[in-house]
Amino acid sequence: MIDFINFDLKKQNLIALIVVILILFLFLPYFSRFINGNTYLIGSESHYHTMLADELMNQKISNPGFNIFGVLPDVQDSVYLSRSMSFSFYHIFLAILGSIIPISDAALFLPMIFGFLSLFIFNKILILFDIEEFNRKIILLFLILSPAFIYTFSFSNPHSAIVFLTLLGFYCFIKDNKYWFATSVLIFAFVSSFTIFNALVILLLLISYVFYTGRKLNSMLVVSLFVGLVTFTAQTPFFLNYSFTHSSDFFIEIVSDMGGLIGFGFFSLLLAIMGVTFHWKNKNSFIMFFISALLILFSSFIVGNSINIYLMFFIAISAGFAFTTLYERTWKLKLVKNISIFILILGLLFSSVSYINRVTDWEPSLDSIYAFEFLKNNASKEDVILSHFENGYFIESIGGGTAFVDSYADSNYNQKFLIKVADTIFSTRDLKTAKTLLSQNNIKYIYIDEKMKSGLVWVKPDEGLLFLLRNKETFNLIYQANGIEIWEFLPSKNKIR
Amino acid sequence: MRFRFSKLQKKYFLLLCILFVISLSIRFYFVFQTDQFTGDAAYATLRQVENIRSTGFPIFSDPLSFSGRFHLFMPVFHYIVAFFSLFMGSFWAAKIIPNVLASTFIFVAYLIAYELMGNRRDSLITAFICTFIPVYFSSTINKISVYSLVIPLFFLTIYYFLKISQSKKYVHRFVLLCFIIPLVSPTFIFLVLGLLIYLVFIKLEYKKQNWLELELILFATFLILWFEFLFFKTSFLFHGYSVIWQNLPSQILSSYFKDVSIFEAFTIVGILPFIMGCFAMYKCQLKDKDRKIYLLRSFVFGITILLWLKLVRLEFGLIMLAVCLSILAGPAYRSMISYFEQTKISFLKNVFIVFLLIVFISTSVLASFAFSSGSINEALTKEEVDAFNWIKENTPQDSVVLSTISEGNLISSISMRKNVADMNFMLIKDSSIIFEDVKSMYTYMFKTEALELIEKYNINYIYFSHNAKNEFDIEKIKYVDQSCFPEVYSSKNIRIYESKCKLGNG
Repeated sequence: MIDFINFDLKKQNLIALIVVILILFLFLPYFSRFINGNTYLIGSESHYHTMLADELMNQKISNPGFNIFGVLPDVQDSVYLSRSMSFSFYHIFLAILGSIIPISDAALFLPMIFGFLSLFIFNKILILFDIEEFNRKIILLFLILSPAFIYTFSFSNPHSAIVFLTLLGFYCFIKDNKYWFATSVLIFAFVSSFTIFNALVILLLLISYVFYTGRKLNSMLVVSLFVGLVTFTAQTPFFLNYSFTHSSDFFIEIVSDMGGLIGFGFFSLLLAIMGVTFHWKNKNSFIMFFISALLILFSSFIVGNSINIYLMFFIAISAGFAFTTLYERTWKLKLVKNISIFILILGLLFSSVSYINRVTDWEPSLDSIYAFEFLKNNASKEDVILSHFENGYFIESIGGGTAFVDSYADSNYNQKFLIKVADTIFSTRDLKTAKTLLSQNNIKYIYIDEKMKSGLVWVKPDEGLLFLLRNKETFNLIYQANGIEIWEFLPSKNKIR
Repeated sequence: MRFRFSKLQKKYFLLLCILFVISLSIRFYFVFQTDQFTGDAAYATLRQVENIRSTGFPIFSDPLSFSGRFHLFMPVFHYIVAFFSLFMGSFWAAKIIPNVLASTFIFVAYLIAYELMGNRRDSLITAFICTFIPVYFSSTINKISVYSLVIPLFFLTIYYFLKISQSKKYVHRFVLLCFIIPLVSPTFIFLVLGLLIYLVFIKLEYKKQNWLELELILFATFLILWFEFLFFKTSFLFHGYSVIWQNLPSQILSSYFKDVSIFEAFTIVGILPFIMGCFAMYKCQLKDKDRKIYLLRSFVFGITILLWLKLVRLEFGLIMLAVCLSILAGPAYRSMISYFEQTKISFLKNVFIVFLLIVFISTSVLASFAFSSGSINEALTKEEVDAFNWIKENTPQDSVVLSTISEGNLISSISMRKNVADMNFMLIKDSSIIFEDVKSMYTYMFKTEALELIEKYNINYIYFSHNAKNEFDIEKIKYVDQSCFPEVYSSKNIRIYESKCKLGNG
């Protein structure tokens, strides 16, 4: 048979390839949308963070004495179950950049800037760990092909800044210089002001490093002290998840090919497992990093899918090692080797491209923007709007109303009960039940989009609440366009017969 | 490639062909006892075959199943049957080709056995044992089952894997098959599982890895997994890992993945192959440590674990188990005879062989016949065919017909009408709710309750057969009356009612 795939990766300019793929994969979701005329940020979370940064900028404008680096204002989120806006240093960065360029552009570029910087710092860290050049480049490639990476640095979210700062802090820590060390302490203290979970990630990283090198134990203890102090005084929540999926399934969330929002490609995970297996005889050198990765993985049962943002580095390293081992081995059959490597690359690309394809179609579409703007013009800020929790941030940021439920969760704030109430309202065909629940929860409007009617909430046209909406005495259709409906609930006109 | 057979080879090849003809003849004997097929899945397959025959393409976007849905399946088997249907018609192709394919497994079993033992006579005996595997026989007779192609291909792949160290041509054939098999059925994922378990066994037992085997196993793993993800991407996104259970409603999942008692396993697999197969694995573990036996042992181990964890359909799991054990029965037989020859009663060897033959015939052979007969008896009756044809000829084309889930494919395939639900739940949301709704529509006492669901699914006709009676343990549909549900068709065991009322005017 002919060796039709005869391609030496080591001879290629992988750095150029990495840069090209990085730019391409981070911009591609937006590029596809821009071509179709949709210039809005992708995903509801992006809009939520933009709203928070906007609020900070408004506070500065309305209160000239307000120092953006000072105490963050206590502003209530527009959500049914009351909570304060959860500002973080990411929103400060966004607000500062938003004062120079339009806030929507700032929200687009800031995570990408953090993405580039993170990759740069991560490369530096790998060099300090004496990772061989080809292996290092493969690890970087695996990282940028990871759906978790694409999510973190394509869409506006605080984790982009936190990851960058954590990597920067770690880089400063492992440099043998007291000024670098002092910088790392400051950076880690800063990062740990976000959540306790982030502080724990820092500690796990440092413990693993100390175990790996056998040095810098005292430095680690100093950092731990500062991190503990900051965490205690700032009284941060244990975790904070802006994209909590409420009905998350561990396996689905970790594999993007199965629908995970911040997951990994199946082949990346397979290679990561192979990487650990291939190098198990040298486990003493990496066992603490492996245990740290497992601990972060299992914390997903508490924290949710956002842990994958931190796990992606471990997955990339392990998968990179596995790939390099397979590539550099002398196979008995070159044909089989070439096809296997080719399929691995295809498999990795397939997961990434499939993920980008999926996120390109994420809300908000132009149709939903128009619908939310209609809400903004016709509903007041206090009006409670019921919809699927994935639309919650849109209702708050673009719609200008109060969302009944959204995707926010932290260790002190849980909307599970409200999700159940929303599901009950959506699924009931009993008018009395629907009226009671809608009245009790002060719901004024119901926002229904095509996705909700196509399986997200309902499957059949007259299922659940959709059947009841035909009751003109109880529900008034105030907006209908392109599959989106907004219904007004009329409690005062109801008489129970 | 030129085949040069020695006289001995010709003799055994002829015997093998005779065995093939015997197997085929027995299959045809059963299959042509009825002019119908067994099971609704057979008719779904037939519909696909007929569509391929007329349009060249399978039905992926199906307007009839679940009143409109998207099918995701591998159509290679359907294309093969459709190809032959061009020469002999769909009916004959569906009756003949699956049985021919299923019977070709005899040759594969012989080849594997010869590779394991190097002895033609014992390999022929193994092939004979593999001819009468009760569960394989009954599952591939009259059901237009894809397993007719899956099992021979699966074990042919294993055969080439066993021979990779001998010549590069077997490596190339193994590689070629790895490209083909994922297109036939997603069940080939078990090939990957078995090979990976084999790797673990070899690592534990021999400590030294055969690098060629490792490379080919990695290659097969990557290729097959990639194919599956590529093709079933939508299913994975829709169902997550529930794809393993094919999104079956929880209510019927338990019957699909039910526990099987040891006695049932004996009967379905065949008592003698079961015992002899286990003996071969035991002997391999303690004494021989033959790598080739380890490979088959890995598949037995893998399938047993999957059956125990209910991660594989019972039918497929038992077929795989039965086939592997039947092949392993060959080396076990050889060991037993060799040992017998060393004993003081070696003069009774022929008596012992006759005894084994009698046991085999009275268990496996007769069990194969019994199961096959049972399968033929479960074929569609004339009464049912007449009822489905009546629906086809007397109802509007866009009608929705309620039936039990196991009859859903018959509504769409024979009557060519929309069904409410059938046995293929992939890419269907809320399968358990649909199952409950169908059950409720048969068991409700009051019209109003039923009308709500009837309107939900836009049902125009209700097909009520003995299957519904047995499944729901009812004698009649209680809410049915002449005003809202006039009886439009009646036979001995089947009633068809038309739904005329709507909520609010009933």
